[in-house]
Amino acid sequence: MTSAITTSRLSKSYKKGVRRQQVAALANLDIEVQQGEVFGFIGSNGAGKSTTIKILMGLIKPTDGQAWLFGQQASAPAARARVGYLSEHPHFYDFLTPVELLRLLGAMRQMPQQDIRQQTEKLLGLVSLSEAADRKIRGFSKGMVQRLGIAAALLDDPDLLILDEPMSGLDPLGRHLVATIIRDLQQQGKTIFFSTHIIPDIETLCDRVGILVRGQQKYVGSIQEALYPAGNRFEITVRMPEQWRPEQGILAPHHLLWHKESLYKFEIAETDISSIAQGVIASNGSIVTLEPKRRSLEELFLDLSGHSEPTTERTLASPAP
Amino acid sequence: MALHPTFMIGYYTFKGGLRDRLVQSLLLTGLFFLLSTLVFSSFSMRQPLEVAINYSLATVQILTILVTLFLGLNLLSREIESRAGYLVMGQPISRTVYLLGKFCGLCLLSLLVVSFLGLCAAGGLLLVKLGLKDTPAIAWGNFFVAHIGIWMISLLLGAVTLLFTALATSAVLPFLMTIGVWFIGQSTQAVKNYLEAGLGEQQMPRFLNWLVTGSFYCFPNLSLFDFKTYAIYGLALPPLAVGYAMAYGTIYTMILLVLATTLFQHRDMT
Ligand SMILES: Nc1ncnc2c1ncn2[C@@H]1O[C@H](COP(=O)(O)OP(=O)(O)OP(=O)(O)O)[C@@H](O)[C@H]1O
Ligand SMILES: [Mg+2]
Repeated sequence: MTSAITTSRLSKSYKKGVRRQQVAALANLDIEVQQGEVFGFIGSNGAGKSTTIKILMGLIKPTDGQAWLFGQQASAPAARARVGYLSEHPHFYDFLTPVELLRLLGAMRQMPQQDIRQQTEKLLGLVSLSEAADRKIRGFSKGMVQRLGIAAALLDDPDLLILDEPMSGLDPLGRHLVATIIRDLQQQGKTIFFSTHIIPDIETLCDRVGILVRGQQKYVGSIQEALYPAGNRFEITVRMPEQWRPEQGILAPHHLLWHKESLYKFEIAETDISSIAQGVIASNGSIVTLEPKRRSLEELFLDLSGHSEPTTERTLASPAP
Repeated sequence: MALHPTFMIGYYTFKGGLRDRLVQSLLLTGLFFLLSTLVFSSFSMRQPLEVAINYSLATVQILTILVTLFLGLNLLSREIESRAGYLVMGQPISRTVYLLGKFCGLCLLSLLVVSFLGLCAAGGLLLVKLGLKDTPAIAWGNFFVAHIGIWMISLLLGAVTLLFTALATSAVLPFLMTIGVWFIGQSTQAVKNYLEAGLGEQQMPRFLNWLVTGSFYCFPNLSLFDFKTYAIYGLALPPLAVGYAMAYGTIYTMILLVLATTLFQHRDMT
């Protein structure tokens, strides 16, 4: 089976300013997204996510390298036949109504009239725009425009969805809706490629992620592996008696992450778990949680970006679990 | 019925033009101007009908061109700048189809505008004629051809906007440059004639001569499409001049379209 998306050494530099200085927005991106996969594309602002997506959609030309959609050159119009696209800042003909807009798009995709009508009704219902179906887009709020963009991307029942920050501008209900849509589509065997910086979305939705840092691809693979790095470190939270001091006893050599009233959280090694558990119970304490230490995506970002600070400061600053 | 995507885009461009506030108000202003020129010209001492035809044709021409320029700005340049075109370009259609569709819509709109204003002008002229005694008949055929000429100019300028839009990243630049082309295009013939006539007596700097000749061949010669005099005085239209103007306009517009679509292919839509 051909991959849904393949890129090979994909690079893009923009010429900036009067002196036409080259700015590398993307360098040597190699990714392969299999059919049926949900692929999260992560990176901080200006990392090159939208640049990649625009190349995939044939909106801009790469300065080097190549991109394919279902084995077809991404620059060819026919490559977009099975693709639904949501742009970063969706902007529609605001003199049209959603119904007219979807009719135009459907006609451009050579969809039969009847399919267009059915899909329009179904999708506008799905994104809760049925009420606004015959209102001019000019008066829509940002979130409504975003919802319409999602409906437009889904119109032709595409096999591949390329969504540039699908959650942006949406209220919690809208985000939940998008997450549900993505899960449903995955159930149907569709491929979804989306960019985001909202971390919970990635963990719950993606099979694999690609992480981009200043145009450089830093990681491609399972999200679990990225967040639970090797080393078998654990985090233990214990409730201790009032007179207990962390400097004493079995936990003294371990790193205290955080403490509040009688609760203490330490970072420990897997091999120390049983001895610590015994020690805690011996001091009349109890174990509240024990979980594998995982990096937050923020940490992962910072590590990959080379901005890594000492772990302690960051963890201590982070709020209680 | 499945229309070709080009015509779908054309149709929706047309729709957008009809719903454009600026265009609507320009048309209304045009109507007002047309009526007032007709009223005033009928008070003219000499040849009131000729004066009325002259004024109404000039008004139709100016307004059709203005509306075309603003439509080009709002429906082409603004659309590309505002990224509304992404939506269309994210579909499985080529950029050539997109651009040609836009041009089709523009052609249709300017046809509508010129017909609307032309019909209003014709109605007004009939009224003026009713109020006058012993006036010659209006040469309706020539009147019609004069409108075709006006339409050709607006098509050509539409294609000029398209070309500049394909090149520029801002929306106002193509608009201003098209206005520039319009002004130059209207005067190239006159300047060339003037220089050629005056050359015997005064020595022109050679580079100026080249400049004028060069721009004469580069910029569209819009005076070719001016058939107003024939309409005003009811003179016999020279078929050769009309045929030449039509052929010139069509070929010039097509060259512009080919250039625009070629350049647009290679453009980054950022
Ligand atoms: N049209 C352009 N001209 C010049 N530079 C550009 C252009 N578009 C993007 N860039 C640069 O390319 C880099 C990548 O931009 P891109 O829009 O791909 O980032 P992104 O990952 O989508 O960011 P965000 O999360 O903010 O959407 C940035 O440094 C940006 O300044
Ligand atoms: Mg972006």
